[in-house]
Amino acid sequence: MLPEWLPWLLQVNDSQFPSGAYAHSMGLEELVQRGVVKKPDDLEVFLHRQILPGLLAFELPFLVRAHALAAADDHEGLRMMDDELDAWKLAAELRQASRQLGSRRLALVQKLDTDPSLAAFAQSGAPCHHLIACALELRRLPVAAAVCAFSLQSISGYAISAMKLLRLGQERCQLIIRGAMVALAPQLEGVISATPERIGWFNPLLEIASMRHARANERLFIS
Amino acid sequence: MNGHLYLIGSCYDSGQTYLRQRSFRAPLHLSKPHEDAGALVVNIVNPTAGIFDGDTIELTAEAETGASLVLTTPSASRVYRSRSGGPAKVRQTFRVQEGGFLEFYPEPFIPQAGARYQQHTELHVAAGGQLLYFDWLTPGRVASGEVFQYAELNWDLDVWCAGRLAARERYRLSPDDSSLESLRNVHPQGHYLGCFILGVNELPLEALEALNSPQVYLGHGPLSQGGFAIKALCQDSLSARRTLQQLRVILYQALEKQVPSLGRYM
Repeated sequence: MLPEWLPWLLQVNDSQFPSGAYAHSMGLEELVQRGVVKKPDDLEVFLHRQILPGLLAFELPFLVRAHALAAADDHEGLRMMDDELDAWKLAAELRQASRQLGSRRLALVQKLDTDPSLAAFAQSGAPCHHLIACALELRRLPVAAAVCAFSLQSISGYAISAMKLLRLGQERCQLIIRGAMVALAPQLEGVISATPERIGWFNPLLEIASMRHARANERLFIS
Repeated sequence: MNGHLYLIGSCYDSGQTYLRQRSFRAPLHLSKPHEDAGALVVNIVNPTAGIFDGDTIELTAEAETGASLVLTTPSASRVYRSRSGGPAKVRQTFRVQEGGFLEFYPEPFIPQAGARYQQHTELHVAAGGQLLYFDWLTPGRVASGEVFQYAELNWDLDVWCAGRLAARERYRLSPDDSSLESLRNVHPQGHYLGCFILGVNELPLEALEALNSPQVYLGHGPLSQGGFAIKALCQDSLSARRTLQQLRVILYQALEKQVPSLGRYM
């Protein structure tokens, strides 16, 4: 039987969903300019060695907690996590990008889902980070689906922006996304079943890249 | 060893800073403080060989209103191979009251092969206070061929500005996974510098940008609740030291203060 939430997931996780993600490279543009990521193989290594571990050690466990709060309509707890994300995101450009993506996503989701609590959260002055917006948007889905959807958004965001920065075609891009998701998928169950108490990930390179991107003389992407 | 250092810097009516309270226990010790450029410079000394597994050290320092306190270390901090499999633990808290100033400028942190270490740092700055905090993480004893061979570093830091969380970091660094990837990516024997400057409204951007070079990859930006973070990946210890020295001068200019001498050859 078709899960009743599947059409919703397909719609809000579609690459055409106008969240504005296409305008952000999340630091990748500066890494390409710096010569850290020069070719598709480098992008693959970057995703597998830096982005996937960051998802597993930080974003996904954070999302699991946020999703539980969103599912329980605990908006006070969710707001605390939203504020906390402001502190976790040291690079101002990454912080701002996350807030822009989340706010835009939540604004559209409010129109598709008329639950008044969504509007109440959006209008409360919360930062509305992308991760929190995803937790709210996917609150009625199983957490596994939410975690998988968020992972795909994060990975495909880097891969699709890379097509504008590298000699990278559609087919190779999809293969890279597939490879990353295949590597990540077996570990998602562990993140969901045993959310670690201490979360976090070390990536000063991406933070510095993002800080430097904010002052780049020329750039294609907002972040 | 279970050591501690508790310090409170206070201010005479004359504006001179003095230590209103101090308490320490091995392996920490204080050298005789000296005054320079309006600040009291306190060297925190560890007269033992370094930090060993099982050691627990608590460091708490506070600058009260009007006080200007500079905390530094005269030599590098080494963490030795864990023989028990357990970690050494250091917990440090720095507080600045309104109108106070505190700088923490340690010499490099050198985790040796097999070292296990946990560090938890809290920075609390009241509105109207100023704090300058530096971290220098080396890859290990490079000259002995030990590059990123420590077993595990857990590095936690919370920054609070006027009672609000402004920055949070939680790192677990280990050669067992790809957690060192971004450190080694630009420079295979890279030194990491982290800095927080709290209580200023703007930074001299051009001077900071000028610190970038083929040896130094540096970024900076505002935190969410005031203050700034600065991070750099440096090619080696020489470029790291040079960057820190220049950074310190630039940031003191931003604070509109004279740079206190640390009382040693740098």
